[in-house]
Amino acid sequence: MTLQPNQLRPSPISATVDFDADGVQHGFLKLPISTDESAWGAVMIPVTVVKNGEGPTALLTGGNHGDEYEGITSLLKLSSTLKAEDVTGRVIIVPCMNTPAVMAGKRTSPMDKGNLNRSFPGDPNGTVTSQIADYFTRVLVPMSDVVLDLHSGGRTLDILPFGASHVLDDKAQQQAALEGAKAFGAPYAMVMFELDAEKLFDTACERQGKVFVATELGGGGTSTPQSIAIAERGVRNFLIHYGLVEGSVEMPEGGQMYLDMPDASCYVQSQHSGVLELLVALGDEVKKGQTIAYATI
Amino acid sequence: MTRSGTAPVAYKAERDGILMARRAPSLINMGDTLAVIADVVERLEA
Repeated sequence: MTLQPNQLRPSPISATVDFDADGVQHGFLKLPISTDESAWGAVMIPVTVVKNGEGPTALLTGGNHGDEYEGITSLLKLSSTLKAEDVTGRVIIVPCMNTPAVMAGKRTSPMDKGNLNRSFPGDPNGTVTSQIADYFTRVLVPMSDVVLDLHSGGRTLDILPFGASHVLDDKAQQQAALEGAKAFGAPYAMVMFELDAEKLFDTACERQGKVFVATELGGGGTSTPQSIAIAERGVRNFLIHYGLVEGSVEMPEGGQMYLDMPDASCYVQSQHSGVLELLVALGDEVKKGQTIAYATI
Repeated sequence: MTRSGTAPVAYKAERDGILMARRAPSLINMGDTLAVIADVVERLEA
């Protein structure tokens, strides 16, 4: 194979599933690696494909960060229950995108310290994490119409449960994602301002014109009965909303609250090392100028 | 944390809203996001 200058080689990752075959398939995305423990080894990323005839393709992802458990848990469960006859089109489920990080219970990969959601669009000749990002960017995302990436706060954040979209130049694309973020049916729906969007999976999907919905669903390095219930209902709602599964979208009983993040002033960041005392709880109302936390230094 | 007799430092909200996210561990370092405040809006439109 002759590569032109600036032409990327194909991804080194190979799939053990046939993405074009009808039915339910469970397999792996295999990335060759060579380590002290395994000279001719592979990173094995679990993947499930559920396909039934013609229709849209939904890509459902969890474990982009390895310590965010609502996506990992709900998608692993879905992969064992979703039947081909329940689906119109194709559902690709990757519950543990950054499998080495998930197995370590950490945000980043123990293999290269890579933060997958800061590694896009990725590089076929890069680190393990960058090679995983590249496979999503150039193989899985192009075959998808709608993408749902399930995040939570991880070990260091606790976040209200919401479905989120972003402000995009293409307003039709933005509207389609916003409707999906609402239809996810979490207690909150959000237009999210990212601190630095350039290397996110979100941006890699949106630049290909895909409808992309992200979530935050709790955190603290664990899950709760409530957060798992929101995740599972949300995944089902997402598939119903975009026409892959029949049924009715179920919204929260108490209604849905809309949130907006206009700019970086939403983020309160520490200028000290010490002990944090927060004076308000998640969901509490705050006023500009209100003291919301102390740092005991 | 490294000496007694030092008053805590107050962090203030720079906008109205609700506490949307908070840091989970109590130990903090410079640059950590301590809190995120989001606007509550009546409508969300593209």
